[in-house]
Amino acid sequence: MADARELMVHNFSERLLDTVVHFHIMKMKDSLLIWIGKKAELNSLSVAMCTKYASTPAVTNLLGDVSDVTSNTLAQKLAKKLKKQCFISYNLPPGNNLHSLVETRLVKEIENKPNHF
Amino acid sequence: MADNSKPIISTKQVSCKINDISTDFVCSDFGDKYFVLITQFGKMGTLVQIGKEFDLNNGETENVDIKVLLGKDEPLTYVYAKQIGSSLYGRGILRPILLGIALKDQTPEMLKQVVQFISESNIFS
Repeated sequence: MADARELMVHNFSERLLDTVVHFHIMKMKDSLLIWIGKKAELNSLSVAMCTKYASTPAVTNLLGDVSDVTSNTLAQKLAKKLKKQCFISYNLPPGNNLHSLVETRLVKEIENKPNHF
Repeated sequence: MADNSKPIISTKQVSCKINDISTDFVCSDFGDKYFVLITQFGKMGTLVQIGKEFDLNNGETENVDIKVLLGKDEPLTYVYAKQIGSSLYGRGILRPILLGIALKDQTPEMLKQVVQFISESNIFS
């Protein structure tokens, strides 16, 4: 079922581990841009998509620290789940359990509001 | 929670017809960067990073620095990015820009109309 509006923006926030985490999702045709952060900044960007050549989605880092694979991993997981090309910008400090909570929250949102993804 | 409050990332978008092709313009303010999407496919297309060139003696110059992050790294991409980047900076944007560009028709005429639209639109300020 095609949506009349091709580009759709969805924002939400959630308090996770004493940090208010903001989510910004832009749905495009067959692809998504998901930004996650606690303040307005865009320091990392990864893109992942499913290919016929491997069971794990292909992923690449476009912006930011190459050694920080949080964006990459999240992009792969979401690309696989949603069967879409996923651009992920994950801008939270590394080294705590936040990323798994973020992932859980995002999956919950995908289940609750599938039309935004 | 906070679904109805003002989002931290402000986004403006507008659709129009250029040469009978429906074109979407999106501008999101990510604090330290702007994300601008100009698309006729509804997709990201080529992703380009645009910044102001920095001169050690004179500070920021009027030249724009372009890096293709994803997609065709060819001269035409640079031409488009440079023109669009300059017109966006002309609209008062001061920070680096991530530009997603996907045009069905890559002619000088199309570029001219896109730049014209940017200079007249109010979503980029």
